[in-house]
Amino acid sequence: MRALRNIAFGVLIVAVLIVGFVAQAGSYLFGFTSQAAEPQSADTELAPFADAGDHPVGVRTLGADIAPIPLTVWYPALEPPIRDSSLTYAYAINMLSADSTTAIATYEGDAEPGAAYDLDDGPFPLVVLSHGFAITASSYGWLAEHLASHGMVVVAPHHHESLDPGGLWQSTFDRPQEVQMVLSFVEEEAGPGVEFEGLIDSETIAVVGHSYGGYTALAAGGARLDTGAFNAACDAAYATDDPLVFLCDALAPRLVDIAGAAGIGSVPAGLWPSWSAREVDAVVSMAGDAAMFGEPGLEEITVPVLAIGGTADTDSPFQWGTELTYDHVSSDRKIEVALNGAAHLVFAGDCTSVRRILSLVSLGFCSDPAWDRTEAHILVKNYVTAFLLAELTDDQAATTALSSGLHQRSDVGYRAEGY
Amino acid sequence: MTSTAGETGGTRSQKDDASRLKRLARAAGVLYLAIFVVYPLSTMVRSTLVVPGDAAATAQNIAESETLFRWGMAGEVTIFLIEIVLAAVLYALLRPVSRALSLGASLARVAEGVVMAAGNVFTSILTLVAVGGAGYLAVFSAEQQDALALFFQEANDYVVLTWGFFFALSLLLTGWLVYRSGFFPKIPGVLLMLAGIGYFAQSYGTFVAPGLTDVLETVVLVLAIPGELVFALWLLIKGVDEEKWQASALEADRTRL
Repeated sequence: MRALRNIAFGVLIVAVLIVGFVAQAGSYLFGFTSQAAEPQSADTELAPFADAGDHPVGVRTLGADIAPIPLTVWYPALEPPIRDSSLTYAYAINMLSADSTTAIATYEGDAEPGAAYDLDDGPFPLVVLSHGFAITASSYGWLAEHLASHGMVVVAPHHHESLDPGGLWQSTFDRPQEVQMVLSFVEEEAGPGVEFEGLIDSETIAVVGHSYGGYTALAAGGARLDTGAFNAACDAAYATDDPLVFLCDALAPRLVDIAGAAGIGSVPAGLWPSWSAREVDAVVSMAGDAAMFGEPGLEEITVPVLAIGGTADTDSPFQWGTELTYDHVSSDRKIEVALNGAAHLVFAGDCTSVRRILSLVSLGFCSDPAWDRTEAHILVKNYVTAFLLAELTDDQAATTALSSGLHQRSDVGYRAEGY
Repeated sequence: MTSTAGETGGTRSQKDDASRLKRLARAAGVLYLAIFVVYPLSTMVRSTLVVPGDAAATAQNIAESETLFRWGMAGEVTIFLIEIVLAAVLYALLRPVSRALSLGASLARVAEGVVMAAGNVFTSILTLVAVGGAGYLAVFSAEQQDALALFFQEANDYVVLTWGFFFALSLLLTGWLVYRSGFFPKIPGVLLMLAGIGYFAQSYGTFVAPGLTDVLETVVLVLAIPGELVFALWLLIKGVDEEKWQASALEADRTRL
């Protein structure tokens, strides 16, 4: 009896110790490293559009009580910020639910929250920035600030989703509709006597997106789903165990649900109806998904397109996203930028301070197999800014730079037509 | 007969004392282990919800996971209640070594609990008020309300450093008392003193050199866990050497120190 009691006592203590150690480790590993004393810097001499523009930047968040869906807006501001690094952005994912974000890392930004709009130099072109699936809009603050500093108003809708592949079909339908809602809202608010009067030129529009945001941008640019092409791509992917099977598993069985949400009686055998009611002037797809459009769906795009992606991307494979997009859009002007060896999340937030666990376990959120994150972001800023300036503002320097490939590097593939 | 009865009574009394001593030591061990489990769980809740520097994300996380946040607060309340009981138990156990130092160690531990209650729990309550959306908060913009929530949570980090001073003092004194006791082995005493040094280094170091926060946090993790855990397990499994404790207690009574 006494022996049994001792054994039970021992087991209890061991169990408590295990829980305690796990909790201690969790408490430590889920904490954040402190901010780096000096932000990493990289040479931008060969990337002229990666330098911040002349405009001070402000940032505001519009809640669902004002806008059709919550929005973060970065814009040219009247006055420079009171101090550098005036706010911190979270690179975060809606991991457990659509309303609760889990920050992966944080990084400093220079935008001034609530700064006055620069109405003297406006109105400015509109850039709708669509975040990746279940990634927050603030994860792209580094890019949004940069574009705003070059004289664009960046409006980022907060797509309501959590990191559950089972919800991808819903996002496939919702996201293009949400972009249309945002465009309508901005147009209304850009009118006389309302929020964005004098700030936004709602007739000059680009849509930029990362990952599923890339899909969203392409859909806004006129791309249409194509069932036959998607199924053929999935058949090929299953045969070769291509990473595209993730998207196929999530979407193919739910096409009927998407059709239901879209109010279509049955799943079309080929092209679906267009979900881009408003014409846009340019599209940027960063590591964007495109297999669901296939060749016929992408051919519907006639506006200028910049497709940029990493060749080692296993979430939105380069072949089925960036390359497919460039090869098949009907645009007169189009560009493909390939970051050789880069993975999927190199386009998401900066990682100045990260959860300690990411220092020990590489989950790909803040690390890339081939690229230094700062350097990759410089290139992304460079190409995206030059492309948008060329297309939205007829900036001749940007157009000339694009025609020369913006100083090509051996680790960057560049293809262009029309420049 | 009288003599025999007296001897029997004395033996029974000594057995009772030994049994009480064992229970006291075991109680201290259990309380220590409870802290070992509950405290990191509470801080882990905070780590998952608070995004350093990002007020909007922090406020949204806390508002959306209010129940979890409240459980974290409940954990902190549990800790400071345990600390006060543990302070009394350790005082009783270590009093034979030095009544003054044992009292000092216990007072420092009580002070730690009080600062934790007045600081950590209070700032968490204020955070909940800030994200609660009460009508009168409409005088603040949404961004200002979010900033308030983060403000209280960042202040919370400094409260931890503040009670860390008292905790460090308590560990140093307790370690010294254990080391000198004779009824505990010396090693747990040394480890407890090292843990105290670790907490002192973290609290002083972070105030003086905030750039070293990461290093200091690692230092305290490495130094603190072994000391407190070894002492807790020793209390729970081996307890005190009763004969030596009795002898120390008699000596202390004789000298009144």
